[in-house]
Amino acid sequence: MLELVFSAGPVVKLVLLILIYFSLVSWAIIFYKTSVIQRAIKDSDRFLDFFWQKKRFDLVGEGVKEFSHSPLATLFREAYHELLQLKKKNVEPGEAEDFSLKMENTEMVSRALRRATTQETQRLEKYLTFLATTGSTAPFIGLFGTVWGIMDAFHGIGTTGSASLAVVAPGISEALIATAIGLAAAIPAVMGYNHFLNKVNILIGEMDNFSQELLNIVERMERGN
Amino acid sequence: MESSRKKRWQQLQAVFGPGFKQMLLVSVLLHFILPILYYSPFFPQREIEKPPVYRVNLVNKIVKNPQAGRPEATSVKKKPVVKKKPKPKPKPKPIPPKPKPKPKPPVKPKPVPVTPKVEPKVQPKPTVSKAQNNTLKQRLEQMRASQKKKDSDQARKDRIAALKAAALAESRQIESPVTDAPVGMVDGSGDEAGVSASAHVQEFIQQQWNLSKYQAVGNPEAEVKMFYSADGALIHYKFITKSGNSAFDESLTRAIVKSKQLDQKLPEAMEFHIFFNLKDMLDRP
Repeated sequence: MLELVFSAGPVVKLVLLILIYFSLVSWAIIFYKTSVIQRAIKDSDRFLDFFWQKKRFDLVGEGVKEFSHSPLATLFREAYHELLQLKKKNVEPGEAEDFSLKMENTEMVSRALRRATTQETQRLEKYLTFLATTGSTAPFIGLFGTVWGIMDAFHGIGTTGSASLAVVAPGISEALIATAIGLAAAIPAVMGYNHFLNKVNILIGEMDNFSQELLNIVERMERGN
Repeated sequence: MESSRKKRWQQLQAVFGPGFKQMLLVSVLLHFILPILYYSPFFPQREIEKPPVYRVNLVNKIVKNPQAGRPEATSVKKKPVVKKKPKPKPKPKPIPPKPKPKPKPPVKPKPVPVTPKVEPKVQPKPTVSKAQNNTLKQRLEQMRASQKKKDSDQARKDRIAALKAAALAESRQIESPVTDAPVGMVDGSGDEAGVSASAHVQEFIQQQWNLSKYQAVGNPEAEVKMFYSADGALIHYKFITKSGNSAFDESLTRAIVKSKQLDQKLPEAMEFHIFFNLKDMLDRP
């Protein structure tokens, strides 16, 4: 196998190097994303339990640092920070209470939650585009190497004037290794991309649900006051 | 709060997220380990058995009944053999009848003296205990088994050596020096693809033949009868008609002697009547 790689032409070698780079980075992303998403899901589960257990924002706010990998914890932190800011403003003396002002507060918390959701989604989806690029382009790059190698092989046939298997087969075999490595790089990348995209979508759904729940709680709190 | 937001933004902008470099290292290691594993004994390499290649020389192979040859093949003109008139056989002389032998008197059978049978003396058997007998038997069996194994090994080695020798002989046969012998005969009527034995022998002798150009005078022609064994060895040769040019005849003799062993085997032991014509021989490349 290795002798095929070493005996290939310069263009095929370059193609193989590019494909190896794609494969290396793809696998690094697969390992990295597995770790990041697993921790995010695990911490989010733990945070949700913690959140519904405590029922008080100040208590949850104190313990939120333990769930640093959870996107839901980040959402809560952003919303809680926004609420604290609003509370400081509302407590200022000489200002009458206004319901419309309370509605504005909810809106502001909602905006903070949306911003945090976007940021977390970007964090979770980081590097996934590389997997998609590898999955879609690596077979074509490999195919390019193969086509180039076969061109070389046919040129060799023309030069030697012999079309026997002994002349044709090694060239085609060398050329086909490019497609093989292209597929070897692309298949895990596509599988990883689909898997992680599914997990990220689940987390985005969780974030949306949590945002709605949090907004409801904030609104209930405002109306109760 | 602002600092944490800034930190997250920086993380998003960074090429390598926290912990990504370690994962890259793991990936590099994986890519190194995979080829090593591939060449390790865990994945035994499948050795492709090369099928035996049989090379058959159909072009220069000597055949008994050659098929019609290619049109450009040089035809060998054969002189019409003038049949000598058979001499009138002398009339057989009448053989005088032999006198009948006298009948011999019948011979009486002699009485055979009857000798009393002597019973062979029974020698006392050596006393061997059962245990000793068993050990002896076991040793004998072991020796037999080892001998059998040695025999089979030797037979295998012999077989391989014979195959190698056959392959070598075959390869030698393929690289035949005789390339100008016409494939088939112009007047060939057989069904075998190959060279006529006669043409092959003539060509072979022609290759061994040389004559000084100062001695190549006239157009002498000689007819030689040769008998080759199936192995291609010259058994006997005889000039049926000499050319009259002693130098030419001697050169032919030298060439025939040099050709005492053909490069190929013949289909069977064969006798050849070949005409050697000086002009034909000089014209040949």
